[in-house]
Amino acid sequence: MSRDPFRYFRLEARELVDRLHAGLLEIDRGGGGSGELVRTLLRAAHTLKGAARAVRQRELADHAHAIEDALEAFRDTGGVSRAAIDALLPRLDDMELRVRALGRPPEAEPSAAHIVIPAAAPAAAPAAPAPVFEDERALRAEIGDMDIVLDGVAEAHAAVGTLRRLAGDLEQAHRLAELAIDQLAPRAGDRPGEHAHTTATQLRGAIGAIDRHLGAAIEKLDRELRGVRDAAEQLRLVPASALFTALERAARDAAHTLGKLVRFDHLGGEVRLDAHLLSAVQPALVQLVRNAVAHGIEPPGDRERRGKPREGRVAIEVERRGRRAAFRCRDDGRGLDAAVLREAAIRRGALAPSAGALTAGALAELLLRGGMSTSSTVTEIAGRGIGLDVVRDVAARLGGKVELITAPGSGAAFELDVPVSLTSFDALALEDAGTIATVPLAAVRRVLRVPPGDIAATPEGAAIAHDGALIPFLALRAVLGRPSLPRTGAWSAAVIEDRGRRIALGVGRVLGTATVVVRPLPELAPCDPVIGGASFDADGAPQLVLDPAGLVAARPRALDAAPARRPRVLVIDDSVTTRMLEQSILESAGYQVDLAVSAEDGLARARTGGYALFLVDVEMPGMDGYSFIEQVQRDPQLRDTPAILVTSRASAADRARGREVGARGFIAKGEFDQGALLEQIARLVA
Amino acid sequence: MTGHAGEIARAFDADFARPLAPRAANREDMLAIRVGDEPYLVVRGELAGLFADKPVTPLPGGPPGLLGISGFRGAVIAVYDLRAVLGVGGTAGGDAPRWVVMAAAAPVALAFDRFEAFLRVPGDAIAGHSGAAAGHVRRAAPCDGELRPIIDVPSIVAAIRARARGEP
Repeated sequence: MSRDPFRYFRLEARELVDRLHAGLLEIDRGGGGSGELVRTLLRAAHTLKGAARAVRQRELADHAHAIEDALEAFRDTGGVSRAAIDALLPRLDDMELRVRALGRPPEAEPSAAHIVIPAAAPAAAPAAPAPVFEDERALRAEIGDMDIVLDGVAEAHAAVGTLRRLAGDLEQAHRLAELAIDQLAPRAGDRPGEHAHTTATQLRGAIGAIDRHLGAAIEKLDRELRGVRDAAEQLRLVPASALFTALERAARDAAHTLGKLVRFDHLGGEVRLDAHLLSAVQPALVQLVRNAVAHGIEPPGDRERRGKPREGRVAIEVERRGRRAAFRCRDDGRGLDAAVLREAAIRRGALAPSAGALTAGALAELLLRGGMSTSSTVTEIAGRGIGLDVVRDVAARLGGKVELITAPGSGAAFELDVPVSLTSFDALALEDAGTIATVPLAAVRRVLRVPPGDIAATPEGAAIAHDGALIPFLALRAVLGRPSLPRTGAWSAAVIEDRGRRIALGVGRVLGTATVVVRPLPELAPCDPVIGGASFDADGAPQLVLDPAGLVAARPRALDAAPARRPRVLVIDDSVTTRMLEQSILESAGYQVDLAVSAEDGLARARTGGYALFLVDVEMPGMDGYSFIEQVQRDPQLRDTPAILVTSRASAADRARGREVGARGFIAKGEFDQGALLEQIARLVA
Repeated sequence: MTGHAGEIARAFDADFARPLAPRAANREDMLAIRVGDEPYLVVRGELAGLFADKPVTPLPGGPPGLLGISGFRGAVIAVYDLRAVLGVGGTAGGDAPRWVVMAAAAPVALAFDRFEAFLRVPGDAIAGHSGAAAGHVRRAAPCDGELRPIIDVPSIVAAIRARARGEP
């Protein structure tokens, strides 16, 4: 038995209570719900009852039983009455508290004394406790995400099992090798050949089998572990929709209390954000929703008289904007009356009587100070002020800001804009001049092929025609500040849009889409705002994530319209494979490449002049790479031409010797990295 | 990372994973390193790890000395070039510094060209500046027959923080 006997029950019970909560609110929205939906909730209540009994949680089982009893009458017909829903929701609140308290010290347990289950509709004020879950564990990951992690772990574990078996086979091969050595040892009057041949054959077979299976097992383990890592990263991220049930409940409770009709809408539930962030903003959003219902939405009669639908609308919209996330609470109520608020503020001494008309910013600041009412008539509820100081505190704690958009008569929108710590989205991966970066797919409008002739040089920088408009053209290499040559061929370009502004981002290649988990840049690495964050590539190296807002604000640079000067690089290597590989990399990056098959051949070519750089193999028959560089250093005509050594020997001593003879760079064949090679070359020939 | 460098890094990882033992009386553990070709020492207690050949992703528009970012144990960390921070000229041309140490006091890594040895220096062999502290070097200790300056990592971190805030 685990030390926490409720570990699994807590997970299951939370899931079921959530399902019941969301289902009841859906029924309420849909005017009573269908029989099918009721049956789904009955199944959830029944499962919860059984599970609660199994772990001897009688109160929870009784609650679940009561919910079953209440819903049973609507099993076939649907049409659950509002009174029935009103009676059930407080039960769910109590269940939620009890589940959260399970396994905690006794003093944290909820006692019957402060849990009140009203028989009729609640008459609480909007500020009464609503299901606000400050505990981030309430905003937990989705079961599906956890399943992916668990599946991955199971697969990885299976792969470890294969490796363990192979280790056994290796031991067997080792024993066979010992035997073969023993049998091959010369002994007087013995004929070792036959036995030794048999043993050696077995040994070959054993090693061959290990060779075949080991590579495959490692490959599989690597793949599975990468999958686990990706899925585990996703686990920290929770869809913003996890907030909506509690917010809808807050809207519903406030509307009931105040006799208003309110429809709750939401947008952006698919945006995945760090659970800690969602937990932190939830109390602020609950306050904004209550505030919208209490002070924004008019009573049904008033709305009708103003020509509005009787039912008011409160909406929560979640949007990710590069390094930030915006949570907007919008209502279609009466809006904020700046003049009334100004008078109230003057009465309270919060504003000097001489103060002029309030701007939206000043209005927001005044409201966020707390103690102010947006209501033009002071009732008991409105007169207490609107508690927007909760919103201000949350914004301050998260390093965010609050904005207000309002027009009298047509509603108000408060926007809480906060920096994100971790987020995940689909991204388009782009490659240019050996560097890969990603850009949020949601901001990509189109991908184009742009021949050099389609790029216009305007006084504001390079631009292309797109959809009948001239839009700035930025090369990714320039955006990233990477030293490189001007591109000679056609570009691929992604058209990126942010808040109505577009740019074309020119790249060498469009690699495809991927889901990326994006981390913020460290505080000690400030950089150009075109970078929105970083994700890790398959090898754990950071890959830059571009920020659409930063990109559209970046100043386009003029592209070098003149025919490109193409520096010549001399590649010296005795291996045809290496020569061809280097030639293809360099030519695709715009260099002219000449080849030499030995250091002697290279020296003869070098003396013909005109080279910007030598790329030299170290180990060659005859003169080696070190000696080649020594010769170059002795030649006054050549000594200024930089040389980079390429070698499979990459020890510190090799590097030291390279530096000693005058090499300006060092590329290890084992770690051959196209981007690093091009970057070193570009730096040296610049 | 293979061979000797790998062994050294692994040994250091194991060492850094252990809790820091109380400083032996009158002894300080140090790393002998080269920044460019210049010899220096750094105090092991001011560091959280030593790594070789970490891929560093350059960032556009960063402050002077910022090489870029790198991944360390699942976190993205800023990497600064000690050559630039200390004002030491590099002689290795196009070679990026190969080694990095993580500072213990802040999430920042410092890159340098060569790691040479791990030393235990007697306290009485360490010489402090007699006058006001100068730059990022306030002490020196003998190593291989020469007196090596000891880099003050917290002072470097403070300078990097100032650079990151855009202060000169």
